[in-house]
Amino acid sequence: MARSSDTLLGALDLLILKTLARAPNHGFGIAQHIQTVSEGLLRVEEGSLYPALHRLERDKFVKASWIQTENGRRARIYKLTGSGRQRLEEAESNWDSVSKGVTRVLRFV
Amino acid sequence: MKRVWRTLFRRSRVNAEIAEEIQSHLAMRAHLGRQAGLSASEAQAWARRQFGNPALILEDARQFHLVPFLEGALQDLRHAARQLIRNPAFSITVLFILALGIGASTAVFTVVDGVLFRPAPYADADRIVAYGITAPIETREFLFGFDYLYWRGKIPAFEAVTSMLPGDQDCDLTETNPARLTCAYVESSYLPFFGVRPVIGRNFARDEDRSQAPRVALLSYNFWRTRYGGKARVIGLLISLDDTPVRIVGVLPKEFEMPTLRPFDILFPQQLNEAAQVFPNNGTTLRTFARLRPGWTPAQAVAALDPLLQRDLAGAPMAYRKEIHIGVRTIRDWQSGDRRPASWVLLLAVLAVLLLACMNVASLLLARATSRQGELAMRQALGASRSRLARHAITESLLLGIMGGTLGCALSLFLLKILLSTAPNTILGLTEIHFSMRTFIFAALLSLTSGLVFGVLPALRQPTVEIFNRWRATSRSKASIRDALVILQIGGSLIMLTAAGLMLRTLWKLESVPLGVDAEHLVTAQFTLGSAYNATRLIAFSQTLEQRLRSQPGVSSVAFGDTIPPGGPTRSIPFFALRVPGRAPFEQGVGGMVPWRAVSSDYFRTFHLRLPQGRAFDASDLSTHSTPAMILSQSLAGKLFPGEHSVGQRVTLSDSGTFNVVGVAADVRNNGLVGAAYPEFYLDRDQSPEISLRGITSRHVAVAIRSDLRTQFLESWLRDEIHALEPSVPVDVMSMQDRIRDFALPQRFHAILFSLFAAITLLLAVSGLYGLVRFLVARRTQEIGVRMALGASPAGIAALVVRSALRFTLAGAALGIASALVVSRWLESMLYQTPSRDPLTIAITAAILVCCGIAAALAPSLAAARTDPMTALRSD
Repeated sequence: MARSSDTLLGALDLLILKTLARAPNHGFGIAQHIQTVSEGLLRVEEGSLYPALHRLERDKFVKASWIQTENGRRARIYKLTGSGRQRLEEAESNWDSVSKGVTRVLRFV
Repeated sequence: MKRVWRTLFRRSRVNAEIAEEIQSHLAMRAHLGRQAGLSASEAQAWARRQFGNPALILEDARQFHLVPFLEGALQDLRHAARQLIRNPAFSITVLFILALGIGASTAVFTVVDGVLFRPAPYADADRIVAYGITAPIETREFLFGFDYLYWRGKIPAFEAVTSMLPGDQDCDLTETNPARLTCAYVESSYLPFFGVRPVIGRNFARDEDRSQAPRVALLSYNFWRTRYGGKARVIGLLISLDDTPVRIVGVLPKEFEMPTLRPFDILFPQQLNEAAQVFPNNGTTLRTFARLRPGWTPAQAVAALDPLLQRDLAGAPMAYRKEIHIGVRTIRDWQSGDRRPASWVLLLAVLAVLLLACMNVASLLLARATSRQGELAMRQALGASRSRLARHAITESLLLGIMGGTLGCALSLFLLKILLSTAPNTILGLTEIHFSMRTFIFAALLSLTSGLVFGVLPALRQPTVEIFNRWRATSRSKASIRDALVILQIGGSLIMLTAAGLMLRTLWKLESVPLGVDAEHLVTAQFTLGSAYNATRLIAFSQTLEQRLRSQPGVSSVAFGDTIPPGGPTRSIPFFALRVPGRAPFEQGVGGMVPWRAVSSDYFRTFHLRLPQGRAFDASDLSTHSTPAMILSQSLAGKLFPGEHSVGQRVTLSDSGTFNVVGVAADVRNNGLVGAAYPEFYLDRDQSPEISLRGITSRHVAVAIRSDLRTQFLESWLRDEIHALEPSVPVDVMSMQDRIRDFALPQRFHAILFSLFAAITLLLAVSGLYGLVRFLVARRTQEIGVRMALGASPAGIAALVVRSALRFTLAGAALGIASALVVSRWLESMLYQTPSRDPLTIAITAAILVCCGIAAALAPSLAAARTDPMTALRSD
């Protein structure tokens, strides 16, 4: 599944995986985290978030389970798996080169 | 199937889960909104506004949890079902055709499965063989008790052997509710040999198989159920069989069948008297079976057995040596014998019918595809991929195939009932319909295969852009596929018609074979008296019955015998055992078997059996006392006394004394209708009771009465008279004409079946042709309009259409005749005095086909002739 041409599009995956590397979280939490940490620069649309989460789940990079939150609500939380962690490392190093590459291309003109 | 369900199930579960996740998300955001000071409803509205389209998200997220192929397949299936419902007339036609084809195939498969494919239900069935010697007396392998015992253990090819007594024996349950049962006698090693274990109780012990041991019995499952209600406490029960106590030791499994395929009620140990076997005259004949050691073939076993046979034959009469051979056959060959070729022909024929049915359905689908081209092109233009469209077409065909197969299964049960009622188990080797898993799998495979066969052609033909151009709505290549299908169907139906014609001619030939007896106004009965009848009682019984029958006004004569001619299970002796005193014995082999009958003096008069020389038995024979009388059949007289007058000659039977030939009777077709007439001779049962009442058929009684009274009355009256003397005996009463009809049963069965096939294929071909002609006429409406406007007469137009139909018919007929000439060779084993390339049959068949072809074109041609040129030219 992990083709290098996906890398540009894989930014969302990277953000999700990175967020989950800190602690398991639910979809809402992930979105909030990304928004907060990026100081509002990145806002994740639910329309992209949930399909991405379910795709990662199918590819076994994350595992989902239902829990009871502290205020008594049921939430589906996602947790990074072993292969998810590996994928995150790959994606991070990939991202480095991609962002360098993109920066060079942008500067060139 | 399971996967489909799981996917369906998962689908709803996944949906619910994602929906709940979305709800949970919304609730969390709303909670955030509340914290920021919004009211509850405001917070919820805000959360929903922030959120994207939940339905879209659900759809996007869901796809990762479903197997995409199956999902697509389900969609295709729904689509196909909708298509079929939308056009019910079309769907019903297709389903009807398929059900007919698949049903007929499944029914025939059920019948021939046992003969052709089904392995015998025994352990290591592929290594089990029937072995022994074959002789003119008995062409199915058997052994004399002595050889069996002596050879046992000396044959390296065999891992194990076992034996049973040949033939079914009657035995009587002599207790309250007496019953006539069928008993079989087997060696104690028999059941373990075949890998069969009683369901309750135990197998025979070796001691119980010694001669004079106390009698024990195993019950068949069926008999156990019907007589003892399937209760386990029958084990150990003492029952009275033929007035001797017998202890039940076990019950056989339901699926157990004898290698002879004969039904039976009770199994006894055969209790072979081993010591007596050394004397050839006391020897028992046995059916013998062996399990080959792995790696040995039947041919190698024959080679291994031959030296043993040659050594045993060293002391035998020369006559025997020449005609006795070793035979080793696999159990299946042994069981199915000569039924195999005919079974193959039937199966292939019915599969050909199915193939033609598929072609018919294919041309129907093609025709529909033509009318749906607009729709298909639209769907393609809107983005459906070609492979998706092809998948739709295939799914639809498979759905049709499966539905047709389901209907076909139901139909085949019905067909099987008909088949079973027209044919006795001697032909089918089948006493009851067991619709097994094998049949079901066969039907399922057939359904799917036929779905693919007729689905592939339309699926391959994809719409192209050109079809928007109405003038080229059907390119020539597409039409030619349909043409070819129709021509093939016509050709196929010609082959079937020819086969049916040949079968009917065979049947007709057989029914006109002179039998040697006059069957009109003759009613017959046969029955077997119980073992309580000794010679004296038997004679007394016959005399009493004869008197009673004669006293009925309207009965012109009454005959007694042991069997009813022609045929019947007669006693027979080898030809070389017939000696003419003062002449050299016959020594060129056994000389074939000569059947004989012990008959009453009115036998010849009753059966209208001509006596070209001499006279029938009469009282004067009795008075001479010295030599009893004998009557020869013409062919036997010709063999014994070539070119001489036989009456007055004397004949010695090797072990029964000398007889005086008093007459020569016309030949009777004893060897069935197909075989040559056997030579035979008759003895007077009153003059030579000690001979007449000897042997296995001694308690068989055959009665024939000639009378002008109504047959139904005679039948029931005869049954009543016999039951008045012996109430419990089962009597087989039948008019002689019915009995004779049974002679041609296999041929009648084949004729019926092939006529059915021919009717189906002819119907399919004609309807295919009709559809095609109608389509051609519709396509040429404008051309016809132009022709008419230019002065063509309606008759001319009609002739034009008929000519085009005739072209197809003649092309199909030519193809069919060419193939029939090749294929009909396979039918030879099923024909009698009919050449397989019978020109008359083929000519008649072709004529029928051409007539049907013209008939199919008639309606479309009349419609074409009625075309109004103005309307035709204005359309479009």
